Amino acid sequence: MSNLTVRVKERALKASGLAFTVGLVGLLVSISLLFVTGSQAFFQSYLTAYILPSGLAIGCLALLMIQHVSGGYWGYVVRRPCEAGARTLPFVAIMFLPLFLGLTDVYKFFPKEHEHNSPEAHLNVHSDNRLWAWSDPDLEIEDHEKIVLDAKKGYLSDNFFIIRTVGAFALWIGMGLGLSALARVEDSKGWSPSLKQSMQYISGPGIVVHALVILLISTDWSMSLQPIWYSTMYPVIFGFGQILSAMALNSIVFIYLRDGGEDLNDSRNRKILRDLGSFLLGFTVFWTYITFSQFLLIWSANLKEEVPYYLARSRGGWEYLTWALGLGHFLIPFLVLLFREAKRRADVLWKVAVFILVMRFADIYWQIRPAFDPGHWDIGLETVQDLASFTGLMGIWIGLFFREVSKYGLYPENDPRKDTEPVHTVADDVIIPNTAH
Amino acid sequence: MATKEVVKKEPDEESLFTGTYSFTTVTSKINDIVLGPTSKGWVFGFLASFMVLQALLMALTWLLYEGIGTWGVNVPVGWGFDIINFVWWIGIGHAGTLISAILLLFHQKWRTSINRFAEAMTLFAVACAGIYPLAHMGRPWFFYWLLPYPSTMQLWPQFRSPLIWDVFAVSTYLTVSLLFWYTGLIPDLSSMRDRAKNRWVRMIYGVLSLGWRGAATHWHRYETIYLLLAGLSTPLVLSVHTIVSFDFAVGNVPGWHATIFPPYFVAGAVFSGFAMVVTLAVPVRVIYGLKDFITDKHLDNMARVMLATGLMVFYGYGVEAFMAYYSGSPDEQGLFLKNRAFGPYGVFYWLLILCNGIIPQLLWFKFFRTNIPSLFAISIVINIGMWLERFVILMSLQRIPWQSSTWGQYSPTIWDITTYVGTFGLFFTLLFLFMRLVPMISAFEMKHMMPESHTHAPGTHAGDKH
Amino acid sequence: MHAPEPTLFGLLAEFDTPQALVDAANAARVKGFKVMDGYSPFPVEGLREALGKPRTLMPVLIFCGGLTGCFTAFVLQTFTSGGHPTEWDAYVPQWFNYRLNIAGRPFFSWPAFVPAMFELTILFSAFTALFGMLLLNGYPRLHHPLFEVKEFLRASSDRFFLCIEATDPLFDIDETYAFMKHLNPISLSEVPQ
Repeated sequence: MSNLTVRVKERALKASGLAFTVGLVGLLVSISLLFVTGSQAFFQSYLTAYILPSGLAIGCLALLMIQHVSGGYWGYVVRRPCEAGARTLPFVAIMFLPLFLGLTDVYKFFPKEHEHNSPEAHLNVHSDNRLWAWSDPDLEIEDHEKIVLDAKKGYLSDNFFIIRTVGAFALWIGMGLGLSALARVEDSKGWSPSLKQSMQYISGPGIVVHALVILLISTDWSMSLQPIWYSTMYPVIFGFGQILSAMALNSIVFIYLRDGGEDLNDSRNRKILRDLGSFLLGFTVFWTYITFSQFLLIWSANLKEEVPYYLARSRGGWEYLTWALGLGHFLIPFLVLLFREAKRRADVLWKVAVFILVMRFADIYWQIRPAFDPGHWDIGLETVQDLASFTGLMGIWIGLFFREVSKYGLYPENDPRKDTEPVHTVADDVIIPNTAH
Repeated sequence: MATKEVVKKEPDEESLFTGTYSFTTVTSKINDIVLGPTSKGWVFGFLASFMVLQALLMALTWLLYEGIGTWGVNVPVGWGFDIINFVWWIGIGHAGTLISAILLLFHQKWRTSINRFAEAMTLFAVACAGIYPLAHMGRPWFFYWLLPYPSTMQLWPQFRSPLIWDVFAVSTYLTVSLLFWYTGLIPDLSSMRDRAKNRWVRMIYGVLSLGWRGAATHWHRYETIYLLLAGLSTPLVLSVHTIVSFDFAVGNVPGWHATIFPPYFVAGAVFSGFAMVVTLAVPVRVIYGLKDFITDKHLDNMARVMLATGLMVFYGYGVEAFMAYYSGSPDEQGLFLKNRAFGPYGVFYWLLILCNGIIPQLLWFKFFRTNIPSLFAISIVINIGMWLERFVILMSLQRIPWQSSTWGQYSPTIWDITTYVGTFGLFFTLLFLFMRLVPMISAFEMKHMMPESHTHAPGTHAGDKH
Repeated sequence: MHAPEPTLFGLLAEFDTPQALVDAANAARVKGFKVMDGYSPFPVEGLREALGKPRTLMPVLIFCGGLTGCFTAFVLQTFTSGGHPTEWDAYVPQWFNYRLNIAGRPFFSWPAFVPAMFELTILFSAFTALFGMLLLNGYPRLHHPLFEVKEFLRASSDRFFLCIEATDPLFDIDETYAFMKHLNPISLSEVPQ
C-alpha cells in the first residue's frame, strides 16, 4: 500500500465521521422540530431533503454504467467513487421507507394548524392529509380536476406506486451491487476482456432500464406532487440532474482525497481536473438547455393544465429563487468554467463543484417545495425544518458514501485505462526546460 | 526516433489507421485523388446526379410559374412534404457537425478521417433543406422580409415566432458550418497549392488557401480557434434542431406541444445523420480505396452512436405515449390512440417503430456492426424511419383541427415527390464536386494523429512523467 | 551589431521530424533568438513554447465577439418589439418602434427573445474566431519570401522548417549560419528578401 492510499483512506474516514456527526445533529433537530411544526411540515421537508442524496447515489450508478459503455480516461478516474455511491443504494432504499407513510393520512399524526389562505393555493391540488394529494380519497377539488385525476387513476394508485418504487430500488440495487461485485473480481483476479464484457452486458441494457425507471420514478416521487401537471421533459430534467450532481460530487471527491498527498498541480492531474471541469461545464449548459426549453414551451403555449407549475414558482417569494437558479445554476458556473485556469486549478474547481451541488439542492427545493406552498414562500420554522432534514439526510448519506469510498482505494488498479494518458488538449501548455541539448 | 515509449495507445486504437504510412504517403494518398485524372466512375456519378438535379429545377420552375397549389398542401394540412423534407435534411446535416465538433471536443480520434466529408455533407444537406421553406413562401424573392432590417415599410419581424427563430438558427448554422469547414480546409488547400503541377491549379488553390504557410504562431492561433469553433458549433447544432422542434412545440396542438421535443428532435437528427454518413461512407471508401483511413472500426463506432441515439429516440416515443396517457387529457389520449397509433396513418406509425425502434436494436450485436452489407442496410432503414417519423408527427394531427367541419386528408402530388427526389440530385451533385475539387480527408489532421508526430519537450522523457 | 543584409529575409533550416524541429527551436531560443518561426505541415506540440512565443489572446476576442452578438440581438428585439416605456419615444426613432400584440403576450417577451440572442452570440463569435485568426496571422498574403525557397514547398506536406529572420538583433549571417548548421538540418538555405 502506497502512502497515498493510506492517506486517502484516512481522509475518507475522517470525512465520513464528520458527515455522520453533522447528519445526526441535523436529523435530531429535524425530529425534535416535528413536535413544533407538526408531521405535515416534517414529511414535506423529508421528501424535499431526500431527493438530492438519493439522486447522488442513483446518479453515481448511472455515471458508472455510462463510463463502462463509453470508455475514456475519465471513467478510470470516477469509477471508484461511483461504485461507492452505487453501493449506498440499499441504504438509500431504507431511507425511503418513511415516505411510504406519505400515502397514509400522515398529516394527522402530529396535527398542526397550517394557514392555507394563500391567494395562490388554487395553483395546485392540495391535500390536508397526505403527502401525495392524488392518494387522498377526501380531496376537495373541482370537477375538471376530478376528471383528469380519474383518467389516470390506474397509474396513480397507492399499490402501484409502492410496487414501482420497490421495483425501481430492486433494479438499481441489483445493477449497482452487480457491477461492484465484478469490480471485486477485477481487483482479485485481474482485468480480462471477458470481465469487461460482463460489465458492459450489465451497463448497456442497464442504462436503458435506468432511463425507463427514471421515467416512472420522476413521475411518482416528484411530478405527481402536482397531479394535474405533466411535462414530457420532466423525467429528463430529473434524471439528468442526478447525473450532474454525481459529477460534481466526483470532482469534489477527487480533489479532497488527493489534496496534500499528491501534487494536483502536475501536468497529469491538471489534465484530469480539466476533464472534470469540462464535464461540469457541459452538464451545466445541458441542464440549462432542458430546463429553459421546458419553461419556454410551457410559457408560450400558456395552457391551464401546464402553466400553474410556473405560476406557482413565479410569485409570493418563489420568483427570487427562480432568478437565483438562473444566476447560480447557470450563469456563474458557466462563466467561471469558461476559463481554462479555473478548470485546471484544484482550489477553484473544488469550490465550483461545491457551489454546483448547493445549487442542485436549490433546484430540487424549487421543484418540490412550491408544490406544497404554491405561489407563497413562507420563510420560518418550516424552512428551518427543511434545512435540518436536508442536513440530516445529506450528512448521513455522505457519511455512508465516504465509508464506502475508503474501502477499495481510489483507482481501480487493474483497469487497463490506467496506462492511457488523460486526453491531450491542444491548448495544454508544454513545460519546456531552459536547456539546450 | 518515433518512440514507442512516448505514445501509449488505447488497446484498440491502432485499427483506426491501418497499413504503413509516412507523412509523405499520407499526403500523396489523400491529395492525389484531387490532383489525379478524373475517373470514369466519377463522371458517371456526377452526370447521373446532375440529371436528377434537373428534376428539382423543373419542379421549382413549375412551382414558381403555377404557385403553391401544385403541392398537396391545403386546408387543413398546411404543412406537408416541404416541412417533412426540411426537417429531414436538416437532421441529416447535424451528424456532420456532431462528428467534426462534438467528437473533437471529446478527443475522439476516429473522427479525423471522416470529419471533412461529414462537414461537407452538412453544408449540402442544409442547402437542400433551405430550398423548402424558401419555396414554400410562394414569393421567395421576398425572402428578405424575414430578416430584421429597417425597411421603408417600418415593419419588423415578429420575434416571438419560432419561424423567425428558424431564420436566425438555420442561417447561422449554414454560415458557421461554412466557416468551420473552410477553416479546416485552409492547411490542406495550401498543401494542394504546393503539390499542384499545373500553374492554374496552383494559383486557384493558392488564392483559396490565402497564402497559408504553416508558421508555429499561426498554427497556435489556428488550433485555438478551431477548437473554439468546435465548442461553438456544439451548442449551435443543438439549438438548430431545438428551434426546428419549437416550430411544432411552441403552439398548443396536442401531439406537437410536448416539452421533450427539443432533445428528442436533436437525438433524432443525430440518429438519421449518422445513418446517412454510413450510407455514404460505405461506397466511397470502396470506390476510392480509402479502407485504410475509413476502417471497419469507424463504421463500428458510428453504429454504436446510431444505437445510442436510436435508443434515445425510441425512449422519446415511449415518453410521449406514456405522457399521453398520464396527462389525463382526452385530447392527448385521443390524439395518440385514434390518430397516431390507430388512425388512418397508423400503419406509418408502426412502420416507424419498426424502422427506428426495433431494427436498430440489431446493432447491439457485434456481427451487425461489423458486417458491412447489413450495416449498410440498417443505415438505409434508419433513413427511411426518420423520414416516416417526421411524416407521422406532421400528418397525424394536422388533418383533425379543433373544428370537425374542417377535417381532411393529405396526399402528396407528383410535384412534391419530384421536388424531394430532385434535392437528392442537388445533394449528390454538390457531393461529387466536393470529392473532385478538395481533399475529402483532412490530411493535416491525419498526419497530426500519426505516432511520428508526437513530440516531447527537450530534456525530458515522456516515460518518467508518472 | 552587424547590420543585416538588406537583401536577406532570413536563414531557413529543414528537418525531417517534428522532434528535430522542436529541439532546434529550443536551442535557438536558448541562444537568444527572438524573431524566428517554425513551419510545419500540421501543428507540432510544444513548438510554440520552444520558440518562446506568447499564448494567443483569441479566446478573449471571441468572448467579446459573442457578448456583442448577444447584446445586439437583445437590443434589436427589445427596442423593436419590446414595448419600451412611452417616455422613451422621444429617444427611440419612429421606425424602430413596432410593438406587436401577439396572443396577449407581453411586449417584453424575454423568454421568446432568447433563441435569437443565442444564435447571434454564436454567429458573432464564429466570425470573430475565423476573421480574427486570419487578421492576426496576416492573411490573406498570397506571396511570401519563404515561397522562393524550393525546399519550402514541402512545408505543407512532410518537412519541418526553422527560419531565423534577418531582423533579429542577434542575427549575423556567418555566425547564425554556423549556429544553424550545428543543429544538423537536412538542408540550410538563405531566404532572399
